[in-house]
Amino acid sequence: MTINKLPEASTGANCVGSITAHCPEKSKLDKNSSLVLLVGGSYERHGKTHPYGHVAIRVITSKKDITYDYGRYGKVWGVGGSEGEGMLRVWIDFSKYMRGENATGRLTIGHSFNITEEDANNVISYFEYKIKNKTPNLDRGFMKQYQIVNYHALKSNCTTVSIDGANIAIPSLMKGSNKYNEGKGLSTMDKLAAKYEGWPQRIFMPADFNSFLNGLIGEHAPVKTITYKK
Amino acid sequence: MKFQKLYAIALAILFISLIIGCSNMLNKKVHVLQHPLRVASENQNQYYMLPKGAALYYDDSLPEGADRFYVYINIEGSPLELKNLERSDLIIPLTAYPFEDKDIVNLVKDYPVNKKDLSKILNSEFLSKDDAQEIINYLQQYIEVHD
Repeated sequence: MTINKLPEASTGANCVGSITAHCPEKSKLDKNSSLVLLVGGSYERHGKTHPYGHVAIRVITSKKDITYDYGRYGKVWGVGGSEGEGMLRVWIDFSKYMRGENATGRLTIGHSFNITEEDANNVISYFEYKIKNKTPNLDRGFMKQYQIVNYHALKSNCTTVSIDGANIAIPSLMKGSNKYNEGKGLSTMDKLAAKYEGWPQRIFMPADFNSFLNGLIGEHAPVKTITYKK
Repeated sequence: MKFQKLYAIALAILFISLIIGCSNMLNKKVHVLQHPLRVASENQNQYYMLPKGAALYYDDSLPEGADRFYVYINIEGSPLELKNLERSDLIIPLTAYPFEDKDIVNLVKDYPVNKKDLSKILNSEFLSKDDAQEIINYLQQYIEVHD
């Protein structure tokens, strides 16, 4: 993958007289791209509930539509597989990503924010930097998988990696989020173990993240929410 | 007296473990593959397959959405060299997934797949009729170019 060039700006009110010239001011103002935070809920499988959920981040510009999905797709270890090789999956076909999520039978909510194309490209560059000079260890054409930083259920998981990416475009996104850091989806035993290890200072569970995003209001709120289910 | 108490607790734990163990064995769930499944190990993006008929024993499901299975394989011939796991709780999974359009062409090129296998893949529950038709069109184009 190559680092994206900033998009050429369209002409507009701020660019009168510069029909063919670049217009960075206009590019900064036009929120013509999207950042979608995809929060998958719990699901049932063979009589057992899997309550933790999953988060991924999708970036859409006029030229690209990429979904970044981080998780334990490689070796795992620790109590209940709570640690492992952290794999970043880069999907260039969103429908294929959703097909996998929908196959679980769970509900996925897409919280969509309008951002500028410049900010969207900055998010893409942020993730591209993480995989710079790395060879995919799995290549399905529409999805390439790269090993990045190790997974840790409390410190580096799908929620924290997605939030870090979203912060590039929306630095104030997580303002006021601490009160939502309850550990929704964790069992009592999980919570005790997390407290013993040191409760994270930031949201780390998908359900907490979803509650926080649902609680955003006014200009900070997502412009729309999209529901995905089989 | 203290020893008797400890002995009773140990027996109780053993009894409970046995019940849980038996219950897990009785509840063992299996899926027998109805069509071949593409399988890859890390950094080996080639076209290996789990054959139709392979029994996959259900282990667990992950928050990321994948289901994890055990596969039992009787390996005949020379004994394989063994090494200790880096840590006892380490799991090194393979990744398996259904075939998609271009995969099938690569599969036909690189793997000794027969007509029956191909038919099973095209008729698998993972592919919609439209997907299967798209693959057939793709294969036809490939054959026309390389014929």
